[in-house]
Amino acid sequence: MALTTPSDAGATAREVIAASLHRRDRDVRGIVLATLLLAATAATLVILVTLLTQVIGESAPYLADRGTEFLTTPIGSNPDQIGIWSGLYGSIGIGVIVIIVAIPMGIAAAIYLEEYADQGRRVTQLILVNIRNLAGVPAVIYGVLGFIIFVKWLDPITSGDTVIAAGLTMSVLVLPIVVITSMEAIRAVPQGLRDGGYGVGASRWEVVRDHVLPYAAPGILTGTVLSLARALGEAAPLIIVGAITGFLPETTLTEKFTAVPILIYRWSGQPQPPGSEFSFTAAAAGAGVVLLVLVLFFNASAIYLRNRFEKVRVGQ
Amino acid sequence: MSETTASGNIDVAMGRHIVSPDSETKETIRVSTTEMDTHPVFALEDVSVYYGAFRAVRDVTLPVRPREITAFIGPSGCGKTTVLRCLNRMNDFVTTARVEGTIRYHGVDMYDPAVNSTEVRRRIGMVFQKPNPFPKSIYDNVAYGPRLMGTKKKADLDEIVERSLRGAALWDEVKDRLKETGLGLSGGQQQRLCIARAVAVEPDVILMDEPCSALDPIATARIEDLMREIKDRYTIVIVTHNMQQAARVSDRTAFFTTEINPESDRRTGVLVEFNPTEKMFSNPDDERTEQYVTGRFG
Amino acid sequence: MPELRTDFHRDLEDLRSLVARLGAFVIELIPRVTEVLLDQDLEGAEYVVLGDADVDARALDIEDRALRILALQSPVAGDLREVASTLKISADMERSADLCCNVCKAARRIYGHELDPKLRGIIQKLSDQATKEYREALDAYVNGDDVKAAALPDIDGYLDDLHRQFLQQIIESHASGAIDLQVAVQLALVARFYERLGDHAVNLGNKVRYITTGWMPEQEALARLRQQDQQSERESGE
Repeated sequence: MALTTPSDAGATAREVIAASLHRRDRDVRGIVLATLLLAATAATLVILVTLLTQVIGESAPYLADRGTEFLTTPIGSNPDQIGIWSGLYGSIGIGVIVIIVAIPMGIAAAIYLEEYADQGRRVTQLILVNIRNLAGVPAVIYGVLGFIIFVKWLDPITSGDTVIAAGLTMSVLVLPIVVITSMEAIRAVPQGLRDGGYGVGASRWEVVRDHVLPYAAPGILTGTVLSLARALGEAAPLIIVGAITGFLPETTLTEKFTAVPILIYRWSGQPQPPGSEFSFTAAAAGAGVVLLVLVLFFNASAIYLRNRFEKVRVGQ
Repeated sequence: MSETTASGNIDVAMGRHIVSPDSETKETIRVSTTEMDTHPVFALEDVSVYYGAFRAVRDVTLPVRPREITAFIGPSGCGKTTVLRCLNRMNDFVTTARVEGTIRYHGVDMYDPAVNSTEVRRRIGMVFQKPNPFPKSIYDNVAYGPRLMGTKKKADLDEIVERSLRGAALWDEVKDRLKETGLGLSGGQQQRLCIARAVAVEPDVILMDEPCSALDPIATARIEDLMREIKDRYTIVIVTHNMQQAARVSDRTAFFTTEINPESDRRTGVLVEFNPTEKMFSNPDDERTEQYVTGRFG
Repeated sequence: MPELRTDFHRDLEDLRSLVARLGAFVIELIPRVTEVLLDQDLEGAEYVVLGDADVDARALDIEDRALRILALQSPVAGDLREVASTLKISADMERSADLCCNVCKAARRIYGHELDPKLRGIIQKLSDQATKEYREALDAYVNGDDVKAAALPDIDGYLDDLHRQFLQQIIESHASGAIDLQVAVQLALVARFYERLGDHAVNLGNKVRYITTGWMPEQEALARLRQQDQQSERESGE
């Protein structure tokens, strides 16, 4: 009895197992899901590609004809002779002000909220909720805010509706984004890193300066780039602050201003004057390309810097 | 008899505030070794630690003697790590943590508001469960602390780095690759790097929170040997969930256990017994200690 | 890789050398007490008996250290066999020293009685053989030589022969009136003491074999017993 049964049972069991391992079930739901996800990705790509080819296609002959003059000529009434210099001046001015004002302030606020503030207290939670809400406020409202505060009340400092006022308005707009993305980046820093610093007697600030910030730098940089791209691309708030859509005699910080998105907005609707070779639409597309290149440039430098910081972080 | 040591070694004065509120003052004050060796380094008296309203551990009274290895053992949740982290005020970073009772470090009440907690952590270093070298080079890892303390000259830093790495039994393995990143080392080497880093600032005490629990047995054995080697220079307190490790390594052992609080139905840690290690493992005083070390209950 | 757990290994070596020293003490003690017996040296006997307290203390120290190692270092494999054996070996050595004391006490009891040359001769041979065996065993212990240890039971055979010879001679000497009954009884006991010393040497050898290879004489009997059990199970099952 003891000699016969065990091995037989083993063989049958083995056969059953082998059969079940080789069975190929069609995981229908899995396949459908994968297909849908692929379709979504493809759709996104198709949309982006269409957008890009449209803009580039529209602007190519125009830019080929105008060349770098397009960048240095101020706005005018004939598409064959206009340029985006005035807008470029304004946009760059806004960008610089955002970098100087919003970025450091946002990062500092994030450091305070993540590292120094007592997360358990209701006040801190209140502040966090408010900042998150502010990030969702429509840009137009910021425009109104900027108009009232920076253009009217702070007229002595900003001289009214100028690049300075616009820059400050955009700074306020992107500030919540900078704070939130920086906070996320700082929160992602592993606690072990801080512990290591404290374990050798570093003070709280030394730990933040020497360990937390370098580690969070890639994430903070991403947030910076996102904010800059937003600041450069918004048109609505600038209109309210007073960007000129028409003729602009000169470009200074203390006089009336304009920005590239405004130009795009303006030119997109203008009819082609009789006798001109190109249309305002082409010029608008050209301005769009310039804007894209600008944002791409910022993105690329941020990615480059990210990679450098990340290499150090994972130890290469 | 004053102890002549390498520059920067920190001896401690008895009976007066040794930690200055002004963190710029990094003085060394000398005292006789015999005095130091008879007074406990830490004196805990009726210490309880609360997280908010929850009492995590209660009634801890024990001395930690200088130049000894003291081990805290006990089942999980018994508060041994909590108590350890109070010894260098790491629990300050947990906003709900609160300490009652007195913890004296060389006679000074550590939780006195006038005490500078950064200074505390300079004298009482810590090594953690998961090795956490900085994402910097091996050299910069060890040199970080001394640089913070004001050492700038390359020659001085070189000497400190070599001395610390030798002290952590790591020098021979890394002396040719000091500029390589610390993260490229094996787990056991990383932990020894963390020990070298802690040692570089010449602390008085080194606290170790389960330093070997993430390591394989050989790496563990090397670190245990290292602990016994450096014990004559630093007082060491180690938390371990591995009883055999406490038996192999420590001079004195404190056993904590958990008790269910009938009202809240949560467990509070309590110190059961504190004795020389040999006694704890051959003939402990308390029945609960016997039950734990013989493995009859976890 | 550098050696690990050096403190533990040093403790083991210390233990080993303490055992070796105790064994060496016994090896010197055996001829000494034989001298005491044959020369009827009362002072020497006193000295030995008083010195037994020291042996007891040393054996206790060895036991203490062995227990300490077991409690704190959790030895396994060869280390465990060694430390566990040390407990038995030190007990045996202490017993050996006690036997030597007993020889001295017997010497006191027969004080004043002449022993004829034949008896003296065999006593000397008993002593020499016991010493020799003990020395062989201790050698084997110190060097971890299980081959030498394996030879001991056979070597001990000679001691058993001498033991029988001695008993025979005692009977003859008593019959011829050279010694009286009390002396004869004491000498018979003395014979037993030497023979027991030889047994201790064999035990030490067995322990050496256990430490080095894990072999125990009892294992053969145990294996036979198990075999018998299995056989009877099979027989009753069918």
